[in-house]
Amino acid sequence: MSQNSKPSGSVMIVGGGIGGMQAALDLADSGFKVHMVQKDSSLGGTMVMLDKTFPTGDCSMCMISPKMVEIGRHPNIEIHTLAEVTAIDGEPGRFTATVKLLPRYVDPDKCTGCGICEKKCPKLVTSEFEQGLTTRKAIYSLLAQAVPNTRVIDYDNCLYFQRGRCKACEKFCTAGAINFEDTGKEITLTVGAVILSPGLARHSAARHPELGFGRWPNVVSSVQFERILSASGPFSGQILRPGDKKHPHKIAWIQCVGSRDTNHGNPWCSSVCCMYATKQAVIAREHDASVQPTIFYMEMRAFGKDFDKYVDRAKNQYGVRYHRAMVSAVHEEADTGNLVLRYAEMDGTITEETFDMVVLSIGLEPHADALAFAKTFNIESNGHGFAATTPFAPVDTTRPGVFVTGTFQGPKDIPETVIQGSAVAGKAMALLGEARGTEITEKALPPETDTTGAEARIGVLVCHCGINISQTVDIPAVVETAKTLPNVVFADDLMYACSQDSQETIKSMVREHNLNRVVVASCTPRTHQSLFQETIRDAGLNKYLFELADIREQCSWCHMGQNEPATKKAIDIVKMTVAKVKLLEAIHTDSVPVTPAAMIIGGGIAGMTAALALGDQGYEVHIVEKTAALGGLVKNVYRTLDGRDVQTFLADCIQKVDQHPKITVHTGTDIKKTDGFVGNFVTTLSDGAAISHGAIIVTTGGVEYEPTEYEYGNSSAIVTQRELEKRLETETFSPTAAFAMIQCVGSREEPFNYCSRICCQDAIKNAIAIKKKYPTAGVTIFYRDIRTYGLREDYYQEARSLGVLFVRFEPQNKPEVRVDGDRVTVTAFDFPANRPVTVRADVLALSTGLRPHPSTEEVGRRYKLTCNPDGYFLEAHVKLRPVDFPSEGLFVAGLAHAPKNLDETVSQALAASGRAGVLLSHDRLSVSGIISKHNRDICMSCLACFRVCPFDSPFIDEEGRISHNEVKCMGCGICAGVCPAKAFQVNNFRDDQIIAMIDAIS
Amino acid sequence: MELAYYPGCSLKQSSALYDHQTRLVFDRLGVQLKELEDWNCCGATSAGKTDDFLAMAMPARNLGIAARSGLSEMVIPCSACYSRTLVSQHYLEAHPDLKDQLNAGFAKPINATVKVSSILEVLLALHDSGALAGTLAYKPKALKPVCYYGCMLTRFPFSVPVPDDIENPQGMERILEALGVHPIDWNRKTSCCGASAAVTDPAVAHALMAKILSDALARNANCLVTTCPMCQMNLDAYQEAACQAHNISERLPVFFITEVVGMAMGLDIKKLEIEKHFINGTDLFKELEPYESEQ
Repeated sequence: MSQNSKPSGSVMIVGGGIGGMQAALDLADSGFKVHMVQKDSSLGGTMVMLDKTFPTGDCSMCMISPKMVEIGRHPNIEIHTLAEVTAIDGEPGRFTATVKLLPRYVDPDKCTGCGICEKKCPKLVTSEFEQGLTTRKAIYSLLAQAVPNTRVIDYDNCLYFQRGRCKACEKFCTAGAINFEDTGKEITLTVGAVILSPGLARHSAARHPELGFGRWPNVVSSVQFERILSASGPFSGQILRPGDKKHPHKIAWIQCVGSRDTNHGNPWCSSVCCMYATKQAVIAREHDASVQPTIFYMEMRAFGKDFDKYVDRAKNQYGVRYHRAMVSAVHEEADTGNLVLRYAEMDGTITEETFDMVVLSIGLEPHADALAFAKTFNIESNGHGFAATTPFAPVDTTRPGVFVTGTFQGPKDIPETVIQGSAVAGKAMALLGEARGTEITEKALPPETDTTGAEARIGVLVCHCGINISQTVDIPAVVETAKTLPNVVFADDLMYACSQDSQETIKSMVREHNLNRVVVASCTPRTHQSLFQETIRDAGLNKYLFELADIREQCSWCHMGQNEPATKKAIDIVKMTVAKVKLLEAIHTDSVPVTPAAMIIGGGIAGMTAALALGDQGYEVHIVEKTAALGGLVKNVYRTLDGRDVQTFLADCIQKVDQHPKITVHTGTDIKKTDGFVGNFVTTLSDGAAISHGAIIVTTGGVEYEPTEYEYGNSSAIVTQRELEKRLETETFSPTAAFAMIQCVGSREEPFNYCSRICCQDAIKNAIAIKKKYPTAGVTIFYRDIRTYGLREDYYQEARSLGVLFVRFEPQNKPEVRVDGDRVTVTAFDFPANRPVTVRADVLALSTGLRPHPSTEEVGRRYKLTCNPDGYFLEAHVKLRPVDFPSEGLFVAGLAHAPKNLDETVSQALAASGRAGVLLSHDRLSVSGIISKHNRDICMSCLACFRVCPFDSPFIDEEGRISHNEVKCMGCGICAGVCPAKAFQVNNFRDDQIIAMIDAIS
Repeated sequence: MELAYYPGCSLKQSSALYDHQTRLVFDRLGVQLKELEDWNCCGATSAGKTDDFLAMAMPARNLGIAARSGLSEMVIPCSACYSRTLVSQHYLEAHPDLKDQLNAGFAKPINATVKVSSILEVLLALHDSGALAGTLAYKPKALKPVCYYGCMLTRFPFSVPVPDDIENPQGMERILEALGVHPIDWNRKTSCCGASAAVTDPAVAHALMAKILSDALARNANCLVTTCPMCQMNLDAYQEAACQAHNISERLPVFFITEVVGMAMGLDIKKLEIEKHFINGTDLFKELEPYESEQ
């Protein structure tokens, strides 16, 4: 960027999957203009194909759809679909991108999304989205909830384009949206930063002919199985075999298809398959209790937060059988279509076992044109076709100003993709901080209709949620009953109430019928209330004049198969909601100013990274560090797995923090107290200093476990992996020294039943260092599962090719360690050899894992944050809000959240800076309308509320009576419950409203 | 067209009719087979199992003779001979020292690269060029075959490139489809028939053969078609024993690809010596429909 030209306040995001979407929303919400360039005809990427997500079993579509809709209606986001970037010039702050747009043949501005064209189109085409399990039309939308919600004509299959006649779509389109003359065009975008989130490709299962994919119809890929599980999939969520549509009972999953396979697949581990297979097995059992799932695996890589527990639950609660074996052949039984799997047992015996259906857990690959993509953007690829990055800068490509997120950087799951989405947003904010707000348009809302005193005119919309609701609840019956309820002037049903065209339907309904209250009977207010509230606000209604009747999670899902009582209950729920909505009143909310500063608790790598990113965004940052120096746990780490110098990185980082004009470091300091609320915190430190800040980032880190197992402490030959790392850096060993290592010391067993994630790589890192320096030294690693997930698998291979020996043990039969003079002997049962083996070692290194930091509890108590059972902080949502806390204004990163590697800590810290940046970019924050209202006139000041409020919002005022600070109130309603005088009433949950609900059905 | 021809021991002895049929069929196709002069045994399993040097050297000598013939391609109908010769050729390309050492001792050194082809590769080339269609007279309508490739044709040691899908080869299917015969997909295309274990450990060989025959029967096939003389002999000569040992009541004739092609060309059962098989399959060729080209 030349000296006198200002940076652009726009960012281009290439790829519209969940990673790109997260980045788009963070940037757009914090004052940047976003151009989303998406190759497909809709946003969505891979996540929209999935049924449910691990480890919580949340519905994938229900999580991503509101985000898609939010992007679709965001005034600061412009979506360019069917688009590809062909060239990019310029430099950070000012890039010029040439974008080629393919013709859609449908004018999205005219299209209402009614879908009549699709119904009338005579041409059936194999559906790519449904993985070939069913067909679509030649005019189609990628998925039901497509954004933008319109159709596209498939040129290669359209009868008109191919044979010159048909045009059925045009004939039936009342909106005149079909345009056969549409041509592609080219546009030029000027942007300050570029974010690459093109997503992944899936390995082709057909490349493993021995597994029978494409040959035996009852062998499916894991993505096909996702579609089979999906309620909106080809079999409407019934588990059926594609071959004969029969219900399979014995289902086998074969892991690592195309992963960890240098012959016909890819050398890397795809990171997600162990968990998605577990999830699919669990969900299959939930759909059909007669399903008996077996997962054939090489190594169970449940390395993420709460993953091991999920696998345990799958085993113990759902009866999922995990069998460690590589399947060498899948044959089909001629008469039954069943499949005979051939595999070797642990002792070498060849076994054949018959299953009704086989699912191949296919791995992740860089998307097909990743290399061409890298060339267009002039960035380097790593050896495998993913974008080249380093552990110290995991979202920076080799070209400044061009960032990467998600699976283009390496295989990863949804939360890590979302983390990187916020991380690149944080990076772009830091790069373009001064241009924030220069290229956006404020959303113009219509004036609010004054409904005070007006007779309630209620509209009710009942959602099918595909078949999620309608397969159990009789939707027409609900609609008909709704029509008869008092004050209901209009009622109708919708296939997906959350889709973009439904929002238009709701708006026109409000206008046409002059409504002043709206009820949507659908999924859950948790995820969808705000969407509908915004919609009615767009239609000129106060957003609090809306209620969501939950007839899915509280009805169709929990009463699946009991259609009649479920329908009755759905009708009751709608009756109650209508009775309540009648009594709702418009709520006008306050706004409060935001202090543009952040406090970061903990000065390790996570804290420093977040501080630097926020400082670069232009916000004042305070790092509060308990100990005398910055650095945290990384102080004892010398090398990354790929051999980079961690100490130099750390020193650089500390120096940058020390010299940053916006960052103040408070070392040797504790927090005494924090007052205030989101946007307006005031913290007093132990040295008496008071800090005003709008956000808090918790980066309190973790500690290394100090072992008591395996004779640790009884011999100088027994060290932790970290101590070995130091000795390897500073000491010389005999060239024939023997090293032994034991994994999972203090991890993956009650009471610490979680994977510490870093230890496998630490062991392999040290093993490689030993073998490189002393090729004749012996290294034996005793392990349970080697969890070198993702691209880390390369190093596992390297260690094996350098001659490192691996001996697997099971937790009930751990290696025995005996101190033997100044040496150590380790004995364990070796499965392939079928007998115990003994290693005499000069050094035994214990891979000791991580524990939550002892301060976690105190910090948790102070800020009312909860922890998972292992003592790590619990994020707001495991999948989609991985760095937010449920309490507003607080964010988490690094080991405080869960064990993770350095690169992941850096990503998460950048993500926290991105999320905090969104908050701090606002001059003012509006306060939620759902708060408790205090009637001081009838209050007796008995202090019941004062004692129970978790947020300290009732306070004793100058007159010695109770007053209420509404800004702090979270609307939990505890005060309203305990107040004997009923002086507290929560907006939209007033007593009269609740009583009306009860009366409506009694 | 002239091709070098390596019949190998099987085609000279136990499967002499395969040699005979091959010559008849190629004659119809206008291909002259020039049998290698003074060829030797490929080494087969014996050399491969006992002596790494001989395993490479024995086929190498034949490669030298083939190079001297001046022909560019050599067809080897036997799967074992084909595999051994192809593997030796690739190994020597990758190990020039061994090649030099061998050449020093050969009267006819390997001084040119002759393409080593299976009988399927040659037939497929003739199919692709249209030559095969020109020779066809009848469709053997009654055949409902499964194609049996055996374990040697698509699996080689080292990274020798395979001209077909390793697990689910399609070459024989393509030829048969061209003749108007519709083969049935099945599991055992490339399973082992037991090979020499039929002599040394009959129980094992019978069990393997029973798997092959059971799957073919379960899919309602009425014959097997193969290109490997070893497989053909095992499944034909020992089928009775294998079926008895494993309670299989039906029997399936096992044809060489050459007799199916030969019958489609209008050669007769006698001339092709089809009645020489242990399991009689001649009835399946009674129903012949005149061939009409689909083009």
